[in-house]
Amino acid sequence: MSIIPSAQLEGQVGSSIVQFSDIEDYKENIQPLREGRSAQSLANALAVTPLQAKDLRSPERQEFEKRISEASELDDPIEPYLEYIKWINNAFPQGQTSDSGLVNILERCTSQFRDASFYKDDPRYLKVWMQYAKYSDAPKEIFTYLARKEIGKNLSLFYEEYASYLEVNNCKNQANEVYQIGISVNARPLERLKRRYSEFSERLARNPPDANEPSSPVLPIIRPALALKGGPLSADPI
Amino acid sequence: TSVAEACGIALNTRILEFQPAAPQSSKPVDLRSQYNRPLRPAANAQARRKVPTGPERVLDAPGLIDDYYLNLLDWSCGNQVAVALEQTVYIWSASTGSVSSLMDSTNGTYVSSVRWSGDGAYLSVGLSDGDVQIWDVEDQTKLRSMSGHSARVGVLSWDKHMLSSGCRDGSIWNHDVRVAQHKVSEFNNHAAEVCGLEWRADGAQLASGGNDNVVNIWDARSSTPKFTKTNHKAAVKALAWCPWQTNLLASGGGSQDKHIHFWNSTTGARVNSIDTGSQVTSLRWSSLYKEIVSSHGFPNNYLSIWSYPTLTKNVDIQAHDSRVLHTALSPDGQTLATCASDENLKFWKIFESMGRKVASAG
Amino acid sequence: MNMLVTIDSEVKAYIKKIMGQLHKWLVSGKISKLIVAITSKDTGEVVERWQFDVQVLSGTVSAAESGSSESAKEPDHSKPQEEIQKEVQAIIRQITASVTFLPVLEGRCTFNVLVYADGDVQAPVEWVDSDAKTIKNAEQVQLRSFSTDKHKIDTLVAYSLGDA
Repeated sequence: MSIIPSAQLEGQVGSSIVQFSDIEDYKENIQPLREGRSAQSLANALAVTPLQAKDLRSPERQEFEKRISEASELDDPIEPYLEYIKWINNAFPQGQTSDSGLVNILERCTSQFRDASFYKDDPRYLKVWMQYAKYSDAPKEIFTYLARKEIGKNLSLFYEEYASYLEVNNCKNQANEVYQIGISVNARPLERLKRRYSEFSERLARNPPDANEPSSPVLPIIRPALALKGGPLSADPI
Repeated sequence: TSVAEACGIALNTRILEFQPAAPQSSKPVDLRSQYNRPLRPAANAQARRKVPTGPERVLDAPGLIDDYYLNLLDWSCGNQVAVALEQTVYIWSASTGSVSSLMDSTNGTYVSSVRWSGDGAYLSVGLSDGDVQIWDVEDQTKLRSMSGHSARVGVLSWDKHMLSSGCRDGSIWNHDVRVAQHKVSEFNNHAAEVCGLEWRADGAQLASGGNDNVVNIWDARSSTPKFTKTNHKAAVKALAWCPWQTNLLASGGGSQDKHIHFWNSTTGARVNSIDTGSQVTSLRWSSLYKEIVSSHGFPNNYLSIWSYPTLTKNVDIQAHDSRVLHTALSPDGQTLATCASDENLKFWKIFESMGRKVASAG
Repeated sequence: MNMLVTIDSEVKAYIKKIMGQLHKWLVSGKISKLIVAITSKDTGEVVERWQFDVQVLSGTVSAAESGSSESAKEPDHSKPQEEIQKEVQAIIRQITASVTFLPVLEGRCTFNVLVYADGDVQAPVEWVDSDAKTIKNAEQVQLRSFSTDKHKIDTLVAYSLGDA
């Protein structure tokens, strides 16, 4: 009975071993996340009954709300939002429900910092947007909004996500264009973006786009106000 | 050696690695494995039947437990809707719009399943502690408690005076609700929680589905399953017998499966399949059209209406903000009730009769 | 090990080569663990580590090795094939369900096969000494075990969480 698998004794120090059956019993109540889920957090969240959960979570939620209300005092004000989102992801494996309020907090976080120049190229902030886009009826509008606001402009993640969205929705030419724009602005990490682009190109070669697919322009054309359109070069006074 | 032993490293053990590098896969990376968003084939634009995509009515359902494995909504032949919210069962009269609460569970237990008897007079209630209760709804009294299950009862199904209950421990009990010694037989072939249970209208066969990804089809008189189907790759909650072809059963799989399979319950053959792209939470055949409606969870949370046997999709309805957990059809077959984890109970007139008669069996 | 399903013929041939040697070792009771480590080609880090602990059930191996009739004690509890199949199905169900918590494998990945063998084991040249390829701060999940008449297999998967 109590034979401890020797794995427990070696190597992967510091973490305890979760029994799969504790998770498997509830597998249909867990929405997979791309970055994975902590088995330990899952087991903890699933161990309480739905009635107990409600009692447990409201004081925890109040604490997060309090920290958010004081966030403007912080050097890194997004931090309590990220902690809050992480808590929801752990405590509510089902994802968005009226109990979890996930979309609500994603919305608050994205809108709170949309004009914060210091987060424009912060991958943590962009990831919140990307999670929010998953729950949107019109993800494309979110991508174009971000482009207009130059949020994530220098991050590969933006171009990868947007291109993937376009690709699975059969806008391969536009996806191609998005990758190229990302590479042309040297989005980082550039190597990863190039690799994704080459994977995409491979798929494209095997499965070329239909002739009647929509094509450009895919990102809003930025028209700086009063840009010179013609006539003598800039600084010359009129 | 004690230190080494404590570290789990036997001194006389060598760790060997197979040196040649694994070959590079020649297949391009599949995007769908990397992104949750599935390919969404648009419903064929060529207009089939026009289906209204807005709800007729929306009711608040506060406290609805977000658990795939439970069955918390049912609609009686007497036009009453039963819905369980945490510890309380509510009855909503679809004829008058009146609401009453039927019962409350106690001691930290919650209601895990409800099901109307065929005549609409009785409601069976399954509880998280394994109790199964029968309630007279008109009198609002509990007629009896049939205890014995060791864990929660997430699904119930009636065949006349016989009530079958599916338990978290994988067992299915058949109760004759008329007699004191209610338990008449036990069907044991699920290795995990039973969450789908559906008697065929003629009572000749019972379909069951569980968290062991298995669909069992039982002949009423035998406690070994006639067919055990292992095609689904996730839990099976959604089960529905076709009203116009007695031996046709539809079953739907959970998040890692997303398929609807159609079975001939006489031969055990799989006769059709649909990849829906989402967790299937329930299936309801229309009695008015040759169609079936499926409700969905991760990732799309749709209602989808399919023609049968062509398997063409008529329409996707974005019914709720989060996953649809339960559905029930009105006794006239025209309206579908849906319950979702956004805590709304909505009504959809997706099978409006337009003067049609109910499709008869056979 | 039929649960590793692949349609790539090169990968198949590669696995077949490994399986040939593994079979010899298993029959002779020379290995105690089999590890499949999935490594990111981009970072070189091990991202998933599947560990199969092999316990030789008493009696059977020594008999096979020595061939002597007195130690060849027939297992008195010959396990029905059906029961073994059920156990194997149960673990395959768990492996299928593991996507509920495992991170999606990003970028290019490869895998390595390791064994923990007896010190005196005879190894073909393709097999070289290695470290354990463990994962730091890993999440660990114990799967169901299954057994035949001869072996009992415990399975453990370790993985590191991606960046949220």
